[in-house]
Amino acid sequence: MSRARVATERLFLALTCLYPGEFRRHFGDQLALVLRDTVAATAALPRLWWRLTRDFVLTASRAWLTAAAGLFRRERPMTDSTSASSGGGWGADVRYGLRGLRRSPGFSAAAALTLALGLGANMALFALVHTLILSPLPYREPEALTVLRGQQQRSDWGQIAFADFQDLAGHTDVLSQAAIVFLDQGTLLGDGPVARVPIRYVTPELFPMLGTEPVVGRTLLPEEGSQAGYHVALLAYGLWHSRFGGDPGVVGQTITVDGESFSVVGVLPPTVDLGFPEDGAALWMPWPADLPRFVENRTFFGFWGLARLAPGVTIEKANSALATIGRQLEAAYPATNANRTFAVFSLDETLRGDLRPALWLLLGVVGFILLIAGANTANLMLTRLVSRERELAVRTALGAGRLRIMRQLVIESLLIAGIGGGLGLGLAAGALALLRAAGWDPRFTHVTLDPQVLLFGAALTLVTGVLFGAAPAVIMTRRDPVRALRTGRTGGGKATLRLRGALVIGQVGLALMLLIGTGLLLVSLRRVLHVDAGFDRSGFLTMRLSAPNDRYPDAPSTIAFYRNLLDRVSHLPGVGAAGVSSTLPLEGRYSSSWFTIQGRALPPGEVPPSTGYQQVFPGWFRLLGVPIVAGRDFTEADVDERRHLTIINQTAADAFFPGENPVGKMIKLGPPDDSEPWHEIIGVVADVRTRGLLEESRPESYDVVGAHWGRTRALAVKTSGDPSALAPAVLAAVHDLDPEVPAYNVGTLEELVRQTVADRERLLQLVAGFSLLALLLAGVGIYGVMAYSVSQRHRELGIRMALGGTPADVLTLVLSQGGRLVAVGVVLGLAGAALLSRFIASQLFGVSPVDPTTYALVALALGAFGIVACLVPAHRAGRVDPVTVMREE
Amino acid sequence: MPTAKPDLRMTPTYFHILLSLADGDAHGYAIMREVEARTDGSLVLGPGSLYWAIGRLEKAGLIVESDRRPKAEDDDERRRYYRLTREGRSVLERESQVLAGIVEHARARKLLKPQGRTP
Repeated sequence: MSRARVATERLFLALTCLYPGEFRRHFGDQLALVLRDTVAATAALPRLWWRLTRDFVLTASRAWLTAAAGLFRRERPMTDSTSASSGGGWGADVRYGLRGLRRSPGFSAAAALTLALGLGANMALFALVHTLILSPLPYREPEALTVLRGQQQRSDWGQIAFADFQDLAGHTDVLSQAAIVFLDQGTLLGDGPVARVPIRYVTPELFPMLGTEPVVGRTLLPEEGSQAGYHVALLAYGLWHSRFGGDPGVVGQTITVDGESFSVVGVLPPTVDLGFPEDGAALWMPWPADLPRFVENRTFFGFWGLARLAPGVTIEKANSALATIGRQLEAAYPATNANRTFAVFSLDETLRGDLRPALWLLLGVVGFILLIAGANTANLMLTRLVSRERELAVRTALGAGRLRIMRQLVIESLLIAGIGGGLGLGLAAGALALLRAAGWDPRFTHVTLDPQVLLFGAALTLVTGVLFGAAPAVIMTRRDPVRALRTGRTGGGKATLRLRGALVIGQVGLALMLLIGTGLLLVSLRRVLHVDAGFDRSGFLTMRLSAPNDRYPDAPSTIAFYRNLLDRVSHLPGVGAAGVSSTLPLEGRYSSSWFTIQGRALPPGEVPPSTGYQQVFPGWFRLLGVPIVAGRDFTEADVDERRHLTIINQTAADAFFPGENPVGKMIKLGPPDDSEPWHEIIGVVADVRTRGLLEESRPESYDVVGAHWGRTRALAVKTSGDPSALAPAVLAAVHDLDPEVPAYNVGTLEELVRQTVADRERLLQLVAGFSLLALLLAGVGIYGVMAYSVSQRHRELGIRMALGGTPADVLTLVLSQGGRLVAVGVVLGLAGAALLSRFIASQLFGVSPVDPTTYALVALALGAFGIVACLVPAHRAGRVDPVTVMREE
Repeated sequence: MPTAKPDLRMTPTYFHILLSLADGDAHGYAIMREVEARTDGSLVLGPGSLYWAIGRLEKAGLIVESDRRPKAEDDDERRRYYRLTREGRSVLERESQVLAGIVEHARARKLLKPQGRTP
């Protein structure tokens, strides 16, 4: 058993101590046995935790409620006047409590709102964690679903070739079901504007494999995947709503995609989300198995594989079986499959693994918020209790048992917590709605406040109410009521003041830790954004265009269209230059290909290295400010002469031609026996980070259009002004030239850069927002305690002034008292931040998790803030009028 | 029949535990596994809720601790076995009849799809 499991077992075994004694005595040993069995039998650790935690909370609350009900039933009849009149039951206490809360609305509102912030944040985050981490994927037996990937010569694990897929899928003892997905795009004609929609070609096995039932109509039939000719399409749920108004009558209708007619046979549920971009807005069509280009093809790696493990097969077993199958294929097809291996990866991990670290981090952050909010509530409770000390003393003197008083206080704090929890639930619902509306992540659309989240919220509310409301109350009732009556003075004494001091120290420490986290994320984001990506990113308007097949059937017509467009666009007012290429940097599209060098023999059993691959119009490098480091750039004449020319990047030059001049060398993109003609390398360009600001450069090759061409291209327009302001003019130019060419993904290059850091930015925004909340709550806490302390020392301060103390002396006295608390909090917070820093390390870039500058700056800022929070009470202390104080005595 | 029994409202958890004991005596973990398997994992009992429910069923007189032990090689002497009382069995039978009646009504309204759909 792993250490984590042993620890889990011990923890939950220890937690059984919190069950009522009778239950524990009767079942304790049996519980321990079953707990051990459960820990040993549950495979996934998060699920085990979820299961045991839920079980513990449910059982403990049930057991205690029952035990408490019995306890209070046995208590002697009340002589307490307030509740005696109404029967002395729970209902009476609740009514009495509500009346009390109404009597001090300021206190009630402050306490409930503070708790609402903490509880709401936790419920919202737990809803995210619950849906995106703890609960299984919305498919049949999701733990057996995997992603099937291939790898050649230790490249990245990625897509596979169709013939390989069919061979792998034939091994049903390993993969009981398998399907492929091919990503494409099409132009959808119909009512409304011409639209570019994503198309997912899939083999029909996909839907039975996932266990997906259509919302309307049917999914795909097996024969639709066996041969070409079926013109049928499924609508994704989002597309059905956005384009067809969610009309069930759409089934049976005909739609036109890229000039061909397809019959809509069904609508998929919103749960079908395989993690490809815009799955929810796509058309899903059958991929026929008999397409001649692909039946025997083992070199076109364009297919994403998905598979269900056969019963009893684990990922490890499947992978060793797949390795064996890979070796068999290698032996059978040495020319293409040398060094190619296959493996499966958990679908769950692939789809949601990236969210986990950030979500756990945020769950920790909101946990801190709840602690800080709870500390404030505890402080408020203490203050209120002190002012009620006489009332409670009178009730005790009149014969109310201590238990009875405690019960009253517990009910009051639970009422406040309950109101806070209810408000928090509203806040959480609002926050989730905002999060969905913000469109940060398509996965967030599935997140709702389901019953399990409500259960968690209720349990958390209960625990918070007991811990921060009832516990202080219980401490207080320990005090001798007679003394309070006799002296007529209230104040809670030294113990309470120490408790309050401790609460403030805790708040400052927690807030400091959150602020340091924010600081570190902020520094990281700045570092990432200032990474030199190798191209000019300011002032570019970008978009994609797609020339329709029927109007642009060949290279000359398509190239002429883009040349005309470039000519028109670059003469628009405000435009400096414009260019066309197959891909924009950081756009998230890349094609890659084998790179064969003429006259260089491969070692036996090896396939050529691979390179990224793009096509550009002349002037593209100049436009983006990418320098030519050797040889020459493409010219318009190269396009007209349809010459086979290539420019490679520095990384490719270093990797493939070490110590040589690549200019003048002949290469081809493909295997050595490919029919593709040889290309001449005419130049080398500097590296551009096309895949991400933090991704190392890889070998890239750029072909000039002419001999190679394509209809779907990216347009970039450079302006000295605001690039997005240029969009209407450029779109109008496209429309003037040909109204049937759709323009989409309109944006700026800056936006593309920002998109690559969007996750970082969002995490930073969330953590920063929570930290500010923490700071605010801690500020309120410091202020409250200091104000209270000043009011308690009113007499003492008055006497000091009467004996010759100046207001400045008093101010210093109060400030130094508050300052000590803040300083201790800061020191503890610094230590805590350093201890916890490893949990944030994975989210950082270019900054140490214990960066001294960040720590120091944040500590100074928080220290200053703490002093400011003390200033108002200190100032008030300095204005105490000794005469008034004396007279009060 | 004893009369002063705590009132017990039949819940799916109680019902499934009783059903697990219908074939013979079993200990807590075996009950838990059987319930999970029978419901395809839709009803998962944790250790606490399992023994909480067992305690309630015991108090209601529907199950008792069993002194019969299984064959020596299967026996784990630390484990406590439970069996249905006569009353427990009759409650289980009555409850099953009620459920069967409900299912009949549902079938009559064609709410039940035939099992074993082929894709």
